[in-house]
Amino acid sequence: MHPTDPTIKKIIAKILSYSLIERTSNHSAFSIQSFIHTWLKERLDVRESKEKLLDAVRLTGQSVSYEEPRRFDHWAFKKRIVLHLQVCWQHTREYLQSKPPMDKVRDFIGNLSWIAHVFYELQYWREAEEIDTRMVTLCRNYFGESDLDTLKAMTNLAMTLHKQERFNEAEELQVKVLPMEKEVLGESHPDTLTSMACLAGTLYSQRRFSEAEELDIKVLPMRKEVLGESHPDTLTAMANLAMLLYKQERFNEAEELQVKVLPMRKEVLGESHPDTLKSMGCLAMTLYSQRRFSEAEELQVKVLPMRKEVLGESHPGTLRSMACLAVTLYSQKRFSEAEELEVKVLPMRKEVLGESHPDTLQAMENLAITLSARERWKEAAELCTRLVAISKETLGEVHPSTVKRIQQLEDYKEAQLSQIGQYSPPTQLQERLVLLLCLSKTHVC
Amino acid sequence: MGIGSSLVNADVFTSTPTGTGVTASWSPVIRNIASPAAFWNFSGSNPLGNDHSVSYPRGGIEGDLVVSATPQPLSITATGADDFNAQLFDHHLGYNQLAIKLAEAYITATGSSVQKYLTLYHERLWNILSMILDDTAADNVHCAAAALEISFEALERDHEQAADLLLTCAFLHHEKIYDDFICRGLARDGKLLISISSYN
Repeated sequence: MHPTDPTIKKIIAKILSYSLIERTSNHSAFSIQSFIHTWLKERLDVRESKEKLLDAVRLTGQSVSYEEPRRFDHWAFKKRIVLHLQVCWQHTREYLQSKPPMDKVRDFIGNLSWIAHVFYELQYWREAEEIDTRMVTLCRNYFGESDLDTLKAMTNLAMTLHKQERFNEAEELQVKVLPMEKEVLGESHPDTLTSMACLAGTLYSQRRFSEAEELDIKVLPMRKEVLGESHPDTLTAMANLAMLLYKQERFNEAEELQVKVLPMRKEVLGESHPDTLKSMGCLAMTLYSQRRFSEAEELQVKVLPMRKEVLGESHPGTLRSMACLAVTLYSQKRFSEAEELEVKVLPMRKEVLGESHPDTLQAMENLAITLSARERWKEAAELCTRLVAISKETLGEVHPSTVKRIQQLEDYKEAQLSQIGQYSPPTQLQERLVLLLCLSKTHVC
Repeated sequence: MGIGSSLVNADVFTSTPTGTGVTASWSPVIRNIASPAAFWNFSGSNPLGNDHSVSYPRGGIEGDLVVSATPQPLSITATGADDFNAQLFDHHLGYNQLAIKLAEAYITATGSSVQKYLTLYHERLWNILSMILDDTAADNVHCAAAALEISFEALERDHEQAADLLLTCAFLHHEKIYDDFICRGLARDGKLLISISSYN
């Protein structure tokens, strides 16, 4: 937590002395009684309201853009303040009906983009997309189509659409932005290279690997030249290319790049930087995919406690590390150890990401598989019943994942009946299950 | 009603709690209010959490104090003794818990006398009521608003930046405003909340 500035402390104490705010029980925050909160807004005239709202936008924008050196607890911080961002955005939406003055609009847009960024990071897609869309319109109206801020706003919107798996819409924007940036900034400008990398990401997500690789292969040497070999963005380009190779099951080539990136990130960013830890996790995944389980485990047991420390226990990245380690343990038939981790991951993902989030569903599936491996068919079937219900609801009945899970459920039920002597399973049931487990546990991280 | 401890057993005021009302002798402006319940009409539920709502009549009221159709500030002459009955103090504030809390804090923070505060309070209450066109009686909202106006204006005089910050917080969620959130938000400025823009 940011050390409270003595000046701010004094200011808060002053407001407290008039009982206009109340301290929360742990004294790290304050609350305003709802009547006072409403009264404060109502006492302002329209002009004052707009001024104060813009102050609030500035306060929130700066609070999330503020980075303390070598501290990466931003995710937890953003989670804590997201409610304020939502309220602030609700007010801003109303005030955007009127036109912000030209001389202040860039500052306003800059802060608003930080708010959008938090929604993006926390996967509040509705809010993120809404702000991004408004920003594109605002920038176009104020600065014109080929202004750099307009292009950045379009890139941000494309990324938000990408994350929602609306790849076509994302790509449509990206292919507009890229030639404009090339024209305005030049081919080798860092922003142009970022746009190329983002487009490559969208192609990658559509499994258009060769097109993505074509772009990534261009980005990497240009970043090396423009930014330098060990610049964080150059290392990201290497890491992206490695992931692309991994996805194409070119594990040796992927590993070759990853073992270059990891020590460089350690040196440039530090051992416990989230990107360094991500590199370790990715390398572990590549080793796992080559069935080098003990090597993968060795890395994963290093990453997990570091992520816990750096990102926090319930951060999605930390939970992913736990899930990956569980898969590696499972693959070594260390089922009870795998289960121990998986029963921790599932409730935390439910809480942090929601029950219908794809990662939560994956955690349910993994746990069900582990339970079935331990022949606890009843528990596996119960869990899988819930999993199938959510999959049907969120993905639809004909989605490949739903179909696979329905089949899994049937198998568990059959095995359960067989266990209590009411049903003789087909002789190949166990083999089918083993095959299913292998398929399910692949690429789970 | 923590302020009560310093306010009880005054020579000037005596009071006997009777049911929801208070029987008081009051000197010199408000005298011989035989039936305060007629003056303060307690009824109904209170959205602010206390038990009573207060009706503050805009026409004439019983007792010696007569208020004309045009609201006039109620003046309470200082008696030289601030320590009068706490319940009477609460009674003046319509038993509104928020108003009482704000009043207590104001008196402590500014060192004002209770009587001065009450004068100010009644003045504000009348001002609020005078802005209402119909014959709306004073209720808990008006009592709290009067106390809030006094406290907020005092804060503005005392520490402008603090008042500024509080107003800015009106555009955030009202609960759990973290200190470190405020600190990070202001960290780059070096100084506090200078408006970034004013819309036309």
